[in-house]
Amino acid sequence: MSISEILQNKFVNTKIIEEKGKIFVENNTKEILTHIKTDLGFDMLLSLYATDYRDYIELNYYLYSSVKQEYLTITTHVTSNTDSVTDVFKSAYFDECEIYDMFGVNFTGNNNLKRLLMPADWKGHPLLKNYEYEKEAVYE
Amino acid sequence: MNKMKINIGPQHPSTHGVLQIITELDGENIVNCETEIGYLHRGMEKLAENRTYLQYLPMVDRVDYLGGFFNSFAFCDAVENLSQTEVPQRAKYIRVLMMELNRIASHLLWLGTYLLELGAISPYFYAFREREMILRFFEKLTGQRLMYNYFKFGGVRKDIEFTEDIEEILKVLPEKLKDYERIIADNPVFLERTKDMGIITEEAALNYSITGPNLRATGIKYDTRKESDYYKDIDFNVITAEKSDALNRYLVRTGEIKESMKIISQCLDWLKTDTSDCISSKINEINLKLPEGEYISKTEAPRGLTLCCLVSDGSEKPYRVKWRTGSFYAVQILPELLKGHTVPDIMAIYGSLDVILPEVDR
Repeated sequence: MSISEILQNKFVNTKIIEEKGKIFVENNTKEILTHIKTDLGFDMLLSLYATDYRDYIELNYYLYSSVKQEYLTITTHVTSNTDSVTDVFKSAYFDECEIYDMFGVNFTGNNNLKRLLMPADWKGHPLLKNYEYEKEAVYE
Repeated sequence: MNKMKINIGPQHPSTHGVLQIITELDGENIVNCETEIGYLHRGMEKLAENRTYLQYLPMVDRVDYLGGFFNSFAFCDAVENLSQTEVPQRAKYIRVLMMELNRIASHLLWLGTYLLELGAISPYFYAFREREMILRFFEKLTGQRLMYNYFKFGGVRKDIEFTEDIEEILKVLPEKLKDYERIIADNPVFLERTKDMGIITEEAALNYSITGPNLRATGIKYDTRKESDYYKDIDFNVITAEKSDALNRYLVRTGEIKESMKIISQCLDWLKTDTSDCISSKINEINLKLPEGEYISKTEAPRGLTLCCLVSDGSEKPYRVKWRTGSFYAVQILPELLKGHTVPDIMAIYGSLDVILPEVDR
């Protein structure tokens, strides 16, 4: 049974589609990632990165299993809010701060969300496609 | 209890870049600590979106200035996989050769500066003397000492026509490594300062996504070179240790230098017997347009796994480039490692992680 089928059987109410080598999940990312870590053995979150597609922001969780030597990408679409996974993978903290900094996504449950790379008083989120430097980036 | 806050950095000579460590002290013991990064942020990912692929290529060397070849390779590999360009076998071997030389240079720099941070001055000069041989060779071949821009999409820019320099390096380095062992690994002061310092447990390493020598010192054999198509005919071992403390991380890195030399001599033998002169496949670099898609290229850089996630929307500019580097996560585990240690141990632990700040901030 493929991983997407295992997940679909476990999370019946969530839409799970496998396409282009990624597993797309509609919501419930935190529960699904917890399940993937504890039961399926993907114990490393190698990278968490976002891409802005104007209508939505795509989050990619790139995982690795040190036991099975396999890779897995879980992807989801968010607009402005999503659950934090820092309780599951501690490495996600910096990643989430960076995504908040660059894309303005709020991670509920990440208590210390801050601007990681840009100055603390920076306005706007630079990696968004509609970001305009002259308009938004002003030092106070 | 009177606690005191002390700022270490941002401008501190031992941080290899600009890192601020805010420590909370009880006497000399570290109770709590926080890291502040972002001082070297150059917007590498945003810059990519306003440039063509060829315009962006020279910039990627700057992501990690001590491992320029690895970043070039990561980006070229992603572009080649998206455009389905074949890389000639000769170019593959040249790439591997250059990357392994770069790995030795990078580890040697780490060795020298780490010992300097611990208070030993002479190993710094010895390590830089050997590193200089490698940089001279790079300069002769590519014209640059650090930012090479030597790999291109589909191959490399220039063939290696002289091998004497590399043979000289391979001849001299093993003897020098023995000297290092005598000076460093047999030195009771060094052992005292590094043994059981900053232990990363297996669980913490996985949880914090630590890669590279720091992870391999815990005993987990994760090395993406073993999965790579480039290294499939090359015989080498993945160096591991039982416990990831500062001493074992040192041992893993010196072990990796020896393995890299093994790889280099195999590449040289292959390049000498090979008669083809094709070092690059034909590809229109200037008007390069990639088909829509996404690819993540994996590179085993000296400081851990480097991922280059490239998203293309079919135009001549990348839609999104994401760099994942080993140091970014190594900085994150630092507060955990420092708790319970004293102030003089900060640099002994931080240095042993081999963090390079430009790679963290990108």
